[in-house]
Amino acid sequence: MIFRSLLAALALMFVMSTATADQRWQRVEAVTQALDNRVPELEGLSLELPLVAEDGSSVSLSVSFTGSLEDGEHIEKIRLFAPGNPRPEVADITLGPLASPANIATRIRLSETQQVVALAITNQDRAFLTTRDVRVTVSGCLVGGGDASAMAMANPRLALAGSARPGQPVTVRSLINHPMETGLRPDGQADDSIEQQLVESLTATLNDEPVLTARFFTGTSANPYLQFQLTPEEEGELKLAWQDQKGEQMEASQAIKF
Amino acid sequence: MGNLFSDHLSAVLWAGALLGVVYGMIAQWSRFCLLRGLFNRWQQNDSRRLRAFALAMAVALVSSQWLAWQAGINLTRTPYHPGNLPVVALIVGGLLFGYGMALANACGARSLVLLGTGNLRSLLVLLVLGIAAYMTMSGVLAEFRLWMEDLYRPTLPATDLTLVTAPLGLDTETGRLVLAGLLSLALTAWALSSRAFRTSPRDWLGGLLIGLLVAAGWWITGVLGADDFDPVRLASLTFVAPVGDSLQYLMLSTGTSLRFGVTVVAGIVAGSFLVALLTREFVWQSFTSPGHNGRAIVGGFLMGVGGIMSIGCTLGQGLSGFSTLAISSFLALAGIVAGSRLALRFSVGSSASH
Repeated sequence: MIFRSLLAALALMFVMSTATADQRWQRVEAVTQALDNRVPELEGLSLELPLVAEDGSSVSLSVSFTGSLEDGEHIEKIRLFAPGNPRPEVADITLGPLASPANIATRIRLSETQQVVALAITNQDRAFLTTRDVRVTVSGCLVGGGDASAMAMANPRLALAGSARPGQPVTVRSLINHPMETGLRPDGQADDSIEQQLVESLTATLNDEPVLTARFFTGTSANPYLQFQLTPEEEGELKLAWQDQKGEQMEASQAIKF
Repeated sequence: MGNLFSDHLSAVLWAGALLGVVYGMIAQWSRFCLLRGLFNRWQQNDSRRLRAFALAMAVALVSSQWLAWQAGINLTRTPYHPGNLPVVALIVGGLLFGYGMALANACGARSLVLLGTGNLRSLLVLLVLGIAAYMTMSGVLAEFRLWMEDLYRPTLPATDLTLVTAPLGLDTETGRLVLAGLLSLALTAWALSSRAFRTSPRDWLGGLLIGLLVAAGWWITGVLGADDFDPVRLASLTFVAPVGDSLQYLMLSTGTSLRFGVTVVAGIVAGSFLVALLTREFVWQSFTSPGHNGRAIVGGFLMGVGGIMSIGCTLGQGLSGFSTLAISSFLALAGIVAGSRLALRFSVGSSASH
């Protein structure tokens, strides 16, 4: 009898542990705050990351929406979190209707083995959430001393992969050189002698119509990279503008021709 | 070239494997080895092999600087140019590496070559070296390394030798040109001043070709691997971290991607194996005593720890780092030479003359 109840208790513990294993995101304050009482659907959003990250300071990540949406509904916000980092925020991306289908790729920093969380919210206030476990072999926090001379943005790059066609999605890739100094040191603490210096935002416009806005946090890798899909309806000029924490700006532009 | 491969990453990997094969073949044929060079010089007053290393340094320097200037590769964007120079870690790391290299009787690159010839001792050295390297890079010794690096790290106006020429009023470009010219002239002159060396093609040809391979490494990662959005990390021949990476790749290949250094490592073993087969030099070898075995383990460990602290090994700092004129290379190389000298004095003695 005792044996049986023990077994039942063990089985229950097992079931509970597996049930909660995938709900770890519920205990991450930044995620619950971003959800703001919405109940996310766990199907539809897909997150691609390597199973093993050999270099935690730059881990390729892509997130795309593969589920179904209502007519006129589009993904409006994509937020990325790395809850095991000293600061969980990685990037917030706001997408306009031109930046569809929702398919974003970037490079992130991971300080240790953890579960990365992606959250998408539609313009009709539906939320989708997905997670992915990544094993980190070299912590992204093991960086050497920052190079103070390289603290400015440099060499912005923007290119289309393939040619643009009306109503057809084309992949846009962008990169800017910047060390993305977190101001944190390997123990995860802020060091007063090192000033945080990040590229704060990237804004994309097509003929001055907003396409996409990205906010980068400490979890975004040095030389922030962003790839997204653009579905242009007409020709024009795609313009990207980066802004760092000091308020400095840099721009790059690319003609969209059919 | 671009049509030959599906993308720049696989082009880099294939070229890396080829580079490794060529290095393995030349190194096995010429017995290229800094440790042997130093010991032959100190013990038998035979400096041919040391002169081969000096010639390789000269050729690597000139060809790499020429390539960097021609192809617009910024060689200061390599790990050999830390923003603040971790002086203590570089010298201590060099000392540990040099001491370990003497104990294990071969550096990392030489161990790979020996492995291809059936030397099972170097398999153990490499396993321990790879694990110790990762322990120091990201494992239990990482904190120790960071502490060591932070002991004294001055911010210098330059990370390469233009530090010396800048006060003379030369700009960086001209400074590099002058330095590369002078240093390589001096090294070549010393190497060629020996008749024994000039009449030993194994040494002079080996040194010459290996020097060129360093520039080939920069070309592969810097030109073949160039991409606006996804550039390959600049690297050339180096053998501490890549040995660790190779072990990791063997264990975690389903979740990780192949890297340049790993394909070079695999290529070297294959290249020296080929030559050893052709010249009938392939022979299984193992330890002769527990003491021999222990020296290999301690040597591999010291090389792994020291090699990460000094940002490279005899080839990584001695040739690749040196070819970028990095200040860190001079400190690390001095440490490596001093470390081997200490080992010769205190623990290896005459037993290492085979």
